[in-house]
Amino acid sequence: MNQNGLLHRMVRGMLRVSIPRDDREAILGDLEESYRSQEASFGRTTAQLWFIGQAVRSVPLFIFYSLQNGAIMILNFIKLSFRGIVKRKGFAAINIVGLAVGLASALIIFVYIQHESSYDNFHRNSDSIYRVNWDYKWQGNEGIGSGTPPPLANRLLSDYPQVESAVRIFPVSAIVVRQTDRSFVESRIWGVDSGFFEMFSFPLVEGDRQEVLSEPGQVVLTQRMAQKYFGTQSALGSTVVIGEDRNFLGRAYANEFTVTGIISDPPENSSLQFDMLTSMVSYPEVAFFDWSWVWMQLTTFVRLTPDASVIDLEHDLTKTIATYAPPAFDRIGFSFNEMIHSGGRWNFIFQPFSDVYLGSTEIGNRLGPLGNRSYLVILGIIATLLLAVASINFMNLSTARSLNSAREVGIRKVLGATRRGLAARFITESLIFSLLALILAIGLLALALDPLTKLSGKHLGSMLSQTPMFPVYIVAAAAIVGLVAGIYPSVYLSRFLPISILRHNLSGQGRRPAFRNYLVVAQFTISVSLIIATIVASDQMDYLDHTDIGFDRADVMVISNQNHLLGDQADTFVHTIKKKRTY
Amino acid sequence: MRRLSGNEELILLAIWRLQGDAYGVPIRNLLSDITKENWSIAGVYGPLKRMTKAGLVTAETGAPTPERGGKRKRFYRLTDSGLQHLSFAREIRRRMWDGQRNVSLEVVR
Repeated sequence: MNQNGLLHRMVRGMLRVSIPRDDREAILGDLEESYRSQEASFGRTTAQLWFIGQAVRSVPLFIFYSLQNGAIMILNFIKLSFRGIVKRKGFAAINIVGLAVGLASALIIFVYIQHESSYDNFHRNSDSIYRVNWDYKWQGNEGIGSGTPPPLANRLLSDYPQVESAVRIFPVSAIVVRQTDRSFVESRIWGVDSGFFEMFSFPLVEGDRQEVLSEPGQVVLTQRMAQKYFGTQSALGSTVVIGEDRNFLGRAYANEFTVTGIISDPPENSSLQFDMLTSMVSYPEVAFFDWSWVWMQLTTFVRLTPDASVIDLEHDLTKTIATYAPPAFDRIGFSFNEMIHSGGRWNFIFQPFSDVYLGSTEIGNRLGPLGNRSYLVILGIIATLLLAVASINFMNLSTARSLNSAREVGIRKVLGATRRGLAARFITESLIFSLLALILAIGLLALALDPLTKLSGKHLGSMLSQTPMFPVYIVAAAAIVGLVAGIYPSVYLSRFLPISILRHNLSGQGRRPAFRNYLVVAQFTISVSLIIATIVASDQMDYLDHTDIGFDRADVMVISNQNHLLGDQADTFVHTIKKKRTY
Repeated sequence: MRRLSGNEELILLAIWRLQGDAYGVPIRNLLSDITKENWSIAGVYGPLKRMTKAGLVTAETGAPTPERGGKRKRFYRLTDSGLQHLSFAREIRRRMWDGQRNVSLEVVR
């Protein structure tokens, strides 16, 4: 044969690997013999082609046969594993439950982290949306806020080509909304620019995106609000009264709003939470303050082109501010330049929208809830520690368990077991245990979801079905733990001589179990630390709940008169309530 | 007693016919000649291994020869059990063919 041809060597290598060991010599010999006779009769080229053809046809079959054998063997090991569990139920229970609890805790934390990380990810444009924040140092105050002035958005749009669109949001403070005989105080009403629907992916159930908030006196209700005010009737086209008819410095605010659209409720994992959206042009104060670079009541969002450099943009923006802000400052009696000269700061910076929910702890969010990245990091560390402790424990117990089967190992060795066979035996058992632990852990997770939802106020399990990778991660984690846990005892045991096992004389390893001791110490340290931390946190919460704050909190209800909404009716209201006292 | 698969039956027959000279190469050649198909190594050795495990054939190792690059041959023989299985298979076919002389679409009783 052309012994040195690369193809030839590859093929031979493949054959050697896939043919079972016992048959190797016989089969390879057959091949050589046939090859030579082929070569003799038909020439070298034909013979080589024949050889390659044979190999290609046979290798898959051989692999399949080996797999079949392997499968049979593993099935037998699985049967033995279950038998082992039944024989020592208590021990198996401790082993499995221990790992299950560890896995379940890690899973619970994982679910929470997942939920928190998924905020605002449903927007189509989320990669290119930025929130504009206000970076200030003025009159003894310093920090970053989320409020921006009205003229900023248009300035950005007109002067900066990398700004594709800009949307402002004006959160209206608590206001009374009336519809025929129903009236409620609503505090999640926003005035928004009409580009809102293009920038954010809140689907409009009814109404046309372009027209829905283009004129004053238009409102879009969420489905929840439509239900609340209109029940099962269609709200589209009806009128809703928001607040009082009033004047603001010569500009009128009309309080009759027509429902021009219905929008689906913002999902739970949105940092933007609203009930009604009204057209920005309905608000006279916003229009009035268009000159002002000091009235920071709006939140501004922009969409940038993919190649835009935020740093350059922020830098260039300072020039714009220096041009347009001073007149605004003068108008309210301050000097912009003086402020700058005395070390003050008045800049606008851009925060990626995807970063807003978790990264705005110091900045705030006037439009919805905020999470905290540091919490997630801490929780992640705790989850890792828990998993580590559970896995180490599992490994230790597995090793102890396998020592019990030392006699089995001895007999198997006598009968000719290979190290690999032994490893397979114990790894299979370990994997079975960890698989059972995994199933139990998932059960625990399902049980815990309800109380967790109550505890955190968030629906934690909802993201699970949307993450295709979730089951894969979990199974992979359990498999890794099982694998590693199985390797240690199998390696440990296969070192023994069968005779010393059968004679109950397990000497032959003079090695002190030093490593195992370190593991145990580590486990205890981590466990005790976590327990102490938990007790301290729990005590703190107890203290908050039960400490004496000067009055009895039981059975007390607070009725808010925010913004003096009751107006001059406040006294009458109190009087009427007092009259109805039944105590 | 189980019924042999078609390939198994052919392989056992080949071993029987080769009477002591039955190792990989001649078995394959005989099968290929008679069925006019190109049998792959795995297609012969796979079933052969299974049948060895089931006790239908036994194997003996022979002497190495230079044409085989110094590798020894493995000779296969039918065991009693193998022979029984073969007869059983033959019997089944005989019964199915119902003693027909001419092969036609109609069964002549």
